[in-house]
Amino acid sequence: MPAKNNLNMKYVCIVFLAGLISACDQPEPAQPVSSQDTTDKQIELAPGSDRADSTNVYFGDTHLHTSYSPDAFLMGNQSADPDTAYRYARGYPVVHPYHKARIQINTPLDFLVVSDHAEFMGVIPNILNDNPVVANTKTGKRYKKLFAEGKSIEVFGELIGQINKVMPINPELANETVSRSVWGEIMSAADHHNEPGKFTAFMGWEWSSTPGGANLHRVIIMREGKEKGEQFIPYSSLDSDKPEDLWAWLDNTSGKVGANFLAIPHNSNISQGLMFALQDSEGKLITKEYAETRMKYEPIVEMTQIKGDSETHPKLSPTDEFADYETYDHLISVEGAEARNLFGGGFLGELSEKDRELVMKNMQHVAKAGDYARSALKRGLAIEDRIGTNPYKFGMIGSTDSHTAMASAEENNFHGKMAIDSTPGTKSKDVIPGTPGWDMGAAGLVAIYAEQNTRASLFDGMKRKEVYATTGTRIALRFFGGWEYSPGDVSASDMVSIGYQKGVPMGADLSQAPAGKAPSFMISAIKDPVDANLDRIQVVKGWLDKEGKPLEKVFDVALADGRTVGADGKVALVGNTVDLKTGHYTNTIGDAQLATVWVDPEFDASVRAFYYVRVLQIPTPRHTLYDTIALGLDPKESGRPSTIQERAYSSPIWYTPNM
Amino acid sequence: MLNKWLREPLVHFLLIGGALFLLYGLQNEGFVEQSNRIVISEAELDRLITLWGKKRQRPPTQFELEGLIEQQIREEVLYREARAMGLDQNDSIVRRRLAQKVEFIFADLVSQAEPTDTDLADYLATHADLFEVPGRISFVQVYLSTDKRGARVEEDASRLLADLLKASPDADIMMAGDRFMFGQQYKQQTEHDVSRLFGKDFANKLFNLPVGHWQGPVLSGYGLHLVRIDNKTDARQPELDAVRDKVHNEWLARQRRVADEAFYQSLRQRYEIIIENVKTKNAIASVEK
Repeated sequence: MPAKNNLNMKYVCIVFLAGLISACDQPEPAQPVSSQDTTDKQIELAPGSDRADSTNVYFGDTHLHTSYSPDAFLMGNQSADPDTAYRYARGYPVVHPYHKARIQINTPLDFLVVSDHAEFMGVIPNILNDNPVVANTKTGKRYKKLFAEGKSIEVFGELIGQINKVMPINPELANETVSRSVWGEIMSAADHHNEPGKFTAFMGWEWSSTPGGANLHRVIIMREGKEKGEQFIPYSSLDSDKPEDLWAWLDNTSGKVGANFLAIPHNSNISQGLMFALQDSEGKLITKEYAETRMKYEPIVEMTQIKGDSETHPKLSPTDEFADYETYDHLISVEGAEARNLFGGGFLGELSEKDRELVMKNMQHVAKAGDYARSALKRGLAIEDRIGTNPYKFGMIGSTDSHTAMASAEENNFHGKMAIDSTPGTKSKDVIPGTPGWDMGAAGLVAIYAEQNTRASLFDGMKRKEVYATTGTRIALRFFGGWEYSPGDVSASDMVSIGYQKGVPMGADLSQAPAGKAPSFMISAIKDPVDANLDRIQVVKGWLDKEGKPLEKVFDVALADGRTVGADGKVALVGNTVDLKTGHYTNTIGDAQLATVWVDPEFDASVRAFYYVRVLQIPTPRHTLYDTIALGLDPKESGRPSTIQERAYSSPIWYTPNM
Repeated sequence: MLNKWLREPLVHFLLIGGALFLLYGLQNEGFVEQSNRIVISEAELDRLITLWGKKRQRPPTQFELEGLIEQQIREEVLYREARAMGLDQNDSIVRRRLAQKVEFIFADLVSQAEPTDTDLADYLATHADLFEVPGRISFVQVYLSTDKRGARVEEDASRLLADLLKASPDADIMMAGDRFMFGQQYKQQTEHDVSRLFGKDFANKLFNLPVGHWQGPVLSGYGLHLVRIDNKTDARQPELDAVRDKVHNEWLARQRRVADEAFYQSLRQRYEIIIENVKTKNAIASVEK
């Protein structure tokens, strides 16, 4: 009997109604002013802030799991907790939970969000540590036995089954006492490491809704500290797997405790078209109210991370020669096979041939327009045309989603998605069926423009979408749009001030086109000081044609090494210096900096459009190349490219015609 | 001397802890003595109602309250029977929970010991690295792009350096060198700030250069930089008042660790410990040395 028939309707959300009622009359929570913000009160403004630019770029990770997440714990991370996570991010050496080597990040982060799964938060470690509240239950005892027999993967299968909603939720595992105390520990670690002006630690968690294997996950971040967080328990997908219910809960809770929240969707690439769908969770066409609520809580999207890049897919953007980057097509699902058959027999190799085929088929994900950021941004324009509000007007960030407590996005210093896939040998194995460590990418980072490195300042930067994504490199990128930029502005010593004076930064809007004028964009990028040179800057434009059909085009706007765009619209590749035997590369190709003022040559003032920037690095080794060198294998054995062009994606600037 | 002794946390523990044990002991005695009577006190009732209210955001109805009370009685009856049957003996969960409770009671007591200014000043002095105020540097840099100048970049750098050394200190350097996205002027930057922008190696070199004149070139991941350091302050120890809260927290945390351990050791001393396995015994003996 297919597992889906096990779905027990009585577990379907009861929270929905409660959330909805309070959502109707809840006043907008007051924006706390900084004087009330106890967590930031000791901030001493850096004396350097009298530089002409009032915003600096800060790099961090808003999505990281520790041993407190059950899947992390079951996949080899039984020791690296939130404190370890902060220590690694801040540049201290720590011990890897699986291979036990002493490791250290190359370049420390400026901020971090520990975002453990709210589902079964802390329950598994508490079972193993004999906390009577959970260890003495029937399930607790059974899990202990499975652990003792080395069958932790079977436990993992059961948890995923419940999150997929193909197995009923086991009430013995959802324990409020345990969740409250673990949530308290997570918050204490954040407060301990939060040092305004030096390092920011946010309170956060992950809502891991995965109905039928479609990934609708969101990371929730709070602007305030523990004193607010203590007043609630993180909302989980066991409460409800519908995003509308999550927003209603955020609305209700922010009003009640005076906190500010952001929800950040991620892994839209494996959402079966649902992350950026045309319909809501009930299958009805998106309304203005849906769009406004979504934009209130979800101004940014995590579109590049370890489990693949969600900018676009080669099938969706067939003419974009750089579209096939860290493409990832595996669902997180146990549908099609009983979870216990799938995981219980050990690994996939031990399943019967028939079961194996069924599972692989069910895990294969086919790219849809609702899965990728670029198609969603296009879709947003069309929906706005219909209802007057764009539900997909989001800024773009990257993060790791690492489950090792190590925010490692560095190709030459990558410590795995799960702790067990952290060594060259284990990464090559299919430990979690269909998703070997070699299919994972060492990515990504969030870059935020903010006045200072504090919770309030960084949170507000995210809220106004003045953010961009990178695949792990620290490319510094400025992107301004306006009507008056002149070619010399980008070389001026006060380029940033001119940027803000004459136009708007990334994440903002343009309208009111002066007659006969096309928008000009001032773009400047500089390489990571300890990474590779830059290949090119591109502008990706999306717009609606006269019939309201969304279109896209990629423009090469600044090219390294003096290259120019040919008559056929093509540009010569930058080259590749990577030595496949040693993994070394040189910065003899590409440029350290690229900059331009670009004017849209095809501008039509009467149609909606968006513009975002993509900056490519020269080719450098993918983490798998270092592995195959270590294992003495042909690089092709990894089944992945040996070299990749790491990149940065800016948040878009939108143009809206006068209506 | 007596004063110091009175402030010694361990003494507090032993006194307060002793009193508490006595108190708990008496209470429990009372229970055992009257094992056939169960009293649900006014206070206990209030606690039940409050707990209920917290969970459900409303007070219980009369019917629910009766249920709550009955549940409480049921638990008490079974608990007493279990104890009478000796079921609390040799149960690893009960043991661990009781041991934890002693630790918790203890942890609560420690926080009552408050440090004096001298304690804090001593702690600050002996843990300098935890509280250091970082040094800061103000500098100007002129960038020479390797992409643009290729092989002649070093030659260009030494020529430009000679020019800069000859120029008057307030000469406009805006036009010197190549365009650099982060600009030429940097004020009051820590070594961490500089390494975020230029990389660790550059920052390290910069902080070891003398103040005052044009020098270089210093290499970064971007190319070559001629630099002039206008001002540099060294890392220093902060005044106690500037970091009082932080020192206070660290001091308390350390006191707690020390006191926890001292308390445990004082208890442990009251036991004779016999380990029958020789291998383990040797291991323990060597630890205790």
